[in-house]
Amino acid sequence: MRVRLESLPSALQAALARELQAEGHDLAGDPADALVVGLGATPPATRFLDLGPDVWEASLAGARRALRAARDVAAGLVAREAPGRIVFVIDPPAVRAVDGMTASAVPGAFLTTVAQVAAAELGPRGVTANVVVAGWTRPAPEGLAASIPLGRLADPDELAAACAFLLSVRAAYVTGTTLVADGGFHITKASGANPLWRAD
Amino acid sequence: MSRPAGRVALITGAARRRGIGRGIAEALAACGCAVAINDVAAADEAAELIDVLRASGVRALYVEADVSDRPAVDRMFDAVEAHLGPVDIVCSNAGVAAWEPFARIDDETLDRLVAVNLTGAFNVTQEAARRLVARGAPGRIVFTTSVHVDMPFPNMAVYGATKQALRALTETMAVELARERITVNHVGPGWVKSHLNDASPELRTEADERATLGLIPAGRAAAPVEVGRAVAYLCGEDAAYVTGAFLRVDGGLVAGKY
Repeated sequence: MRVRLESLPSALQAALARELQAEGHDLAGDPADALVVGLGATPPATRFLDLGPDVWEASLAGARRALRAARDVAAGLVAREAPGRIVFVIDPPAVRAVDGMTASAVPGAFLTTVAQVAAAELGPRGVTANVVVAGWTRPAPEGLAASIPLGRLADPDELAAACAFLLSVRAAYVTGTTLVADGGFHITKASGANPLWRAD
Repeated sequence: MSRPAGRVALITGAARRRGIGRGIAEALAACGCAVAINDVAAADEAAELIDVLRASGVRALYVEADVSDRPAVDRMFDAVEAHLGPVDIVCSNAGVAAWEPFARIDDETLDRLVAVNLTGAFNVTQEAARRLVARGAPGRIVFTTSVHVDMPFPNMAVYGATKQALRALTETMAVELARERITVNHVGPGWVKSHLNDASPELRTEADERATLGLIPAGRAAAPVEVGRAVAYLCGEDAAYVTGAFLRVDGGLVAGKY
């Protein structure tokens, strides 16, 4: 399969490229059969009241860029009458509110509905669309581990595995869903103060 | 019942005769609020609403502003403060919609919906929250989102995505502003026969409308004021401990995903 990777956090990008190449996928081929698209690096924690227009606009620019990338891949698949896969990668605050993380939560949530509508519209054509919530990895602070049931940050290979699953034949009947690969962070209550405030 | 009497409320996107914004304005006015009506178009419809409200003894003001323009938003708050007093309640309701197949979403549509529905909402509610915190006053913020938060609607990826993004904005703001005694919630209307929905292919003909509305468990669209009364609850003292919540007002639409 020809898979395009766009705007992923760098560690995940590298891990996923390794895994997909090992499985024999083509990461440079055109036209793409599949797309894995993210929002780039997680923005630093900023109080909502202090959030400047530049950070807000940058977060929305990321969401718009990801939507356009998915639209373009979908348009190519529709034109070729080919099946395909679209995976959006977002950060944990989109599914569990975290203070200071407006600029991560808003574009991530945006993409969850983009995925659902794409799944509903393109399902009859054999195109699936799903979301991976990529759990906290370094450089996120180790202190976050206290709020994660599995007690540690994620290894980028574990997040790559979640993305690779959604591209695989094993996920052929999975569409419109969100695979939360976050060590359980989304089900917990925060333990003490949010460590992201000390991230930089 | 404890109601938000004596407060000053600003409702964005509230001029249209059949719109949800007007329903919110009417419900808050009925509770004794002074109401500032914002819109970017339909000045004649706004004037008509202001006349009706003032005739029934409500302190009311029309403030025209494009919510996606931050300096215009700041001036809007100054104008409301000057004429009605500082704003206690903000209903961020202004929104635009579009219907396009996913593979043919137009860049201009994408930018316009994001600018109004998301940046507009951010501009209005951040400015409101800053002013509330500066004066140490409690406040209420209510976003109009949609049933799109809980189910996808084909050909409406951008509209639905902006509403889902407001869900996340609501929750993050609620977490950060709770200690300031500012509650932040969102309401999810189902079908309303509003100006916004005039372009909906699902309401195009009478047969389309019967098919669409007939599937709703309640068997009908909502009147705008029915959504407005739910917003008025969230704006009152009874809802002081309700924050980060989603209140659907959809006649049962999402329960069965009709």
